[in-house]
Amino acid sequence: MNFLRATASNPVKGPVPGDAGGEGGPEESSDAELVDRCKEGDYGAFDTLVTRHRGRVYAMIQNMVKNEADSWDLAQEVFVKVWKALPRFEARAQFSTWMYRITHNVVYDWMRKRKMDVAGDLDDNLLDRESIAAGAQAAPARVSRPDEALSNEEVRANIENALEKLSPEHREAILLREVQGLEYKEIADVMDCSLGTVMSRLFYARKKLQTLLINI
Amino acid sequence: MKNDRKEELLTRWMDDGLSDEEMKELEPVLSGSPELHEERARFLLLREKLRDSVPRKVDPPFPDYFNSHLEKLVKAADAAPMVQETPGVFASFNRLWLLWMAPAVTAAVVFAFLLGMKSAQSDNAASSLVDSAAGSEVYSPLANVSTEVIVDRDSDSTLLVVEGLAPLSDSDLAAGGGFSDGDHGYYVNIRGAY
Repeated sequence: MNFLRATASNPVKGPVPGDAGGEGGPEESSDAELVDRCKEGDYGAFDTLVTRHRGRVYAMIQNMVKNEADSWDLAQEVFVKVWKALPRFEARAQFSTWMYRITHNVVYDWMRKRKMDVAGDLDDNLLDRESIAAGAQAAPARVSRPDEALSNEEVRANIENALEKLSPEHREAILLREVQGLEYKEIADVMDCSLGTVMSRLFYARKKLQTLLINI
Repeated sequence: MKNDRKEELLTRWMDDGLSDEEMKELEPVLSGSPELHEERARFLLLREKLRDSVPRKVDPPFPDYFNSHLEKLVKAADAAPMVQETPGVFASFNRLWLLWMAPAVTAAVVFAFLLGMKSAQSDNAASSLVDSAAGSEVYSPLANVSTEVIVDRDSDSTLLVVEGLAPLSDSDLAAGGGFSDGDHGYYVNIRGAY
């Protein structure tokens, strides 16, 4: 896809929609329509896709990377890769799922380069099975009184800390499922693993989260 | 019930995603561990808090600049020459070849450099191999790997710059007394050592 041809063919960028949820409202083009226009070299359509999805991509990266500047750069890298790969995109998967897959690759490449994926090498089937049995109880040691309830800000900080303590794979599985709302199969596609691995990661990640967040 | 199956059913049960048949399959597990119901209830509360605390969407800082900067990157990427992708077996072969070649090329460059140093020292100990100001190139068997030798007479040291290879690892640098600035690895040779 050639940018120069694209800009020449569509020099005027229309108003960019907010979050159209990937499908677009009655007045807005769907992702599929925008993708088709991108494939014809319409950079304006790509700009609309970027504006629609940049918030989700950035949020996902930031929750994995925990660094604003790196997240910004990586989100840019994701969309450059999306643009370059769009001609090969087939609508077998949703555009957003495919975009999360590219995001996953960019983040893990970055982690590998930074040698930050040490925790990610942990084997779910070894460590987690040993530490938390499938039927193990993750009950709180005690129930907090209402006057002991944590403030929203404290809850948020505790949740962020707990997420950081998960391995990258567990954190990503939780974020994709609980925050981004992806289906199990979509998570498997994004993380390039089997459905069974997704179920296992979710199972143990949830257990760990419950253990780590026992007081909220 | 196998552990994998139990994990899957429990995970989907937490998400309210079991069919009647699967629910019957899980029933013995649930009746054997009544605390699982309480655990599920607490997880559903935790999920709510998680969704309240971790936003699904966060616009990047300077969102307009994000788009305009991206446009520049895309333009640059489109302007860059296309690299032909080598499919399947050939791609794997190429990767293996590169893995094999990288240390071989490094060894060849260092060997050529050392040979040059020896030769220069035996011919005339007082004269240096290269001009300290201009630097000099050393033979490299790969076209995309360039090397340069810089001799500093004042500090009696030689700098060999190899570009086109991955940066040297920490252990290489420690062994060679070199340093790295991220994109380039440098190996410093104190001439007196030879």
